[in-house]
Amino acid sequence: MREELFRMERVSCLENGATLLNNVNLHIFSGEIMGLLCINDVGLEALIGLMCVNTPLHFGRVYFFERLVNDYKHSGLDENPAAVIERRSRLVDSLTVSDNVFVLRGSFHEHIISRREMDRRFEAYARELGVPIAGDCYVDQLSAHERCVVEMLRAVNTGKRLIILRDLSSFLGDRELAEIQRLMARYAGRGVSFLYVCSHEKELSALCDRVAVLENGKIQKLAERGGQAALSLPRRRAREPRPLTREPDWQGPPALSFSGVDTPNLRGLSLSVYPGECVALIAQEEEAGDVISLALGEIQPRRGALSLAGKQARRLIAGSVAVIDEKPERRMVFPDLSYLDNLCFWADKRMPCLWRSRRILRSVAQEYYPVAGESIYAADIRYLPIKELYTLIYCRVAFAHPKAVVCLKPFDAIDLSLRQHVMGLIDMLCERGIAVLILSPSVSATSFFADRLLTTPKN
Amino acid sequence: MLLHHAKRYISARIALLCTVFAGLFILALLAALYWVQKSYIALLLPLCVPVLCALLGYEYVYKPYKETEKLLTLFAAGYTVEDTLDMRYPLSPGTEAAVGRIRDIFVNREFISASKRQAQYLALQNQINPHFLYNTLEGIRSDAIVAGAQDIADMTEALSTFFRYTISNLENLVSLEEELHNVENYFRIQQYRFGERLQMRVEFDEGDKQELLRCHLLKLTLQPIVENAIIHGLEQKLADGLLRIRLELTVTRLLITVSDNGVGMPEQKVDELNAHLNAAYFETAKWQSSHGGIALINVNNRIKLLFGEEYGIYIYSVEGEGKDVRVTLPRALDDIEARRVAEGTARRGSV
Repeated sequence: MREELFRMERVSCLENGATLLNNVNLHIFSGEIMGLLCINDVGLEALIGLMCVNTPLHFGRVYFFERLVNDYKHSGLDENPAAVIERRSRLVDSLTVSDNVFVLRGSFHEHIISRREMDRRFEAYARELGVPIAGDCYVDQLSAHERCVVEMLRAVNTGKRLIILRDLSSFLGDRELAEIQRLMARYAGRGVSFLYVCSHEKELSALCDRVAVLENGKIQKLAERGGQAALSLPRRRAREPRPLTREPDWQGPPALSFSGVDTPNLRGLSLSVYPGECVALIAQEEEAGDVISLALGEIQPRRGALSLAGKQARRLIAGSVAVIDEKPERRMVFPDLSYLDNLCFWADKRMPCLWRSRRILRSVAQEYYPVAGESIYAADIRYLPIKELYTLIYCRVAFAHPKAVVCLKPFDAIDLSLRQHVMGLIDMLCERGIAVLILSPSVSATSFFADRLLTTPKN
Repeated sequence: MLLHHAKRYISARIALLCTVFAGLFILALLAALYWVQKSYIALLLPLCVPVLCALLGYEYVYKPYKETEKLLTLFAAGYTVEDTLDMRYPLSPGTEAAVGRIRDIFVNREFISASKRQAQYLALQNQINPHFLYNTLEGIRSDAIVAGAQDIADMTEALSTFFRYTISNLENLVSLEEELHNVENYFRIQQYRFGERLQMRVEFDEGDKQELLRCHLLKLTLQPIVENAIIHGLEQKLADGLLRIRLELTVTRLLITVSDNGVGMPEQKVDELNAHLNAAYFETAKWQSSHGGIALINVNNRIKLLFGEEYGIYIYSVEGEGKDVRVTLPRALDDIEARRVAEGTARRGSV
């Protein structure tokens, strides 16, 4: 007989008249690793929120350990034994690891704290789990992986029985992810349950006992381990099937090439990206940072050579390679400018009279209308949907037409429908002969998409 | 009397609050007039009374009122019956009496409609004398065996057993073992039609087997769901069809998932069907007359009626990706336990 840890029964949740969760039924057993595959983000925040805190519902019931904790008649606003681990840290940076694990919890009532004893306890605890983290280490000195491990230890230590892991592959490398998954399996054996939220079906099918597919605030399908039907759903669901139209020019010189490049975080990196090609480089955060600095011309390699369109250079000229940042919809749009002004922002060097000529602007609008649609005439872009903002940024790159573009984590921490959209936009760049270099910490996000997959020795 | 009523009725709470407010305000006013010569701060005393009453009013009138209002709104939207009939804070004694009367009407009406199907069985039983039917089928089976037609003999036997279970046994609650046996029997009949193209698998944890098979549930809970999966899911599929019945037992519930890898259902239809499965049972009358999926709704209504609104059926399906029908039932290891759950539900409905 299995112990049911969490159950959500016919839960509907409304916010400002919009339905966030629609008749959701979901249950998680003790010691189960449940996957949640998000086709889109609608309702995800509400679902996770309801697992952690008993906030008011429109209808339905929520049970923990088969005990009713929240229903539509009464919501106590109290916390459930659930914790979330995600990109955003929930630890106190200025305290040590053992302070975070042992002191910052409701049940800690000791008046005299023996730091040495606490560190010793933590280290014994960490050693048992095979995690080499020192108890006296400050949280701000931890890597993302170590921080996740500490958060997991803390969650278990504070009595949380359901741990929600959200988009870990967007900021952890594959090796680090495997380490976290090892810990998950270990804790699952002790009765702790996990909800692994992710938009990569391969990652979920390899790890989870069951997978629920969330779309538009509804659980559309449940797949047991080995049941592939639900997991093939996202590909079938892709509303605009992606035709493979890329034809890289492998005959000519590479658009961007690194040859034996050494930087503070890279050792002898050699790679070439050809016009129209999409290459994924699996790199850790600091390695990706160095590649971006090289592409932006901010640093020059200690050793080795760079070349752009066959021309060697010690240092790339700023602007010769475009960089699309992580979460570009927040960092790369100018909310005070119109769509068209945003679109032309990088092209003014190529066409100095661009801003004065209405004819050119009209022509640009006409050219990008098939991709951008009516939004291209938007005067105020602040209210545009996120998909339109992504289109704007990629169209800006296409219009500036650099030889190469470096995209930092383009598929990470976005839902599946947006991922499909970004794939289409990257294809558009490739079709225009632009070389695309994707930097990502994990294979799962890019393996199915890139023409070639490279990895740094650390990964 | 007012104090007694104020424990429960919102109208009495309002009356009590007004009385308290008036009394306190007069007292505060008198006290203020008495003390005002010593300190002007005494004038603040009457102002404190409305603040205090507002706080009391929020906690003891507004919040209960919101709860009752929400229940009535959800009742009007067709979400729930049980909780509305069992509201914690009725508006007034008159409202409570009216709700009680509505409950009686519902219970009678639902009992009538629940027993309608039972009556249909009886009518069928009277029309076709079961013994006559079984004897005839047995005769066909004997002839088939003599003629060497083993397939016909087996099929007739399966049909006879199926009728025996469906028509003869008028017990309302049966064990899961009996129900599974009937499903396997029904599946055998269907297999004569579909051949090896159709497969069925019953899955459960071996450790739970004894307890699972002892669990009691409503008779004919599984067969209509299996029939629905075959007719609407697998029949239209060209490739091989697999039907999985997964049984899971928790501390308080029996979870049965009937999955097929058939053609699935369009999103709109799944939503519509789930909305009706989620709605209060009397809301489904309109659906029954004009749409498909009647079998699932009937089973769902019977479960809700007998065991309560927290049990029932939910459907997960995507077009082209098959369908999962999840049945949630109380864990009742014997007939007595099942009846206790059912009585608990009935008592909740009639308190």
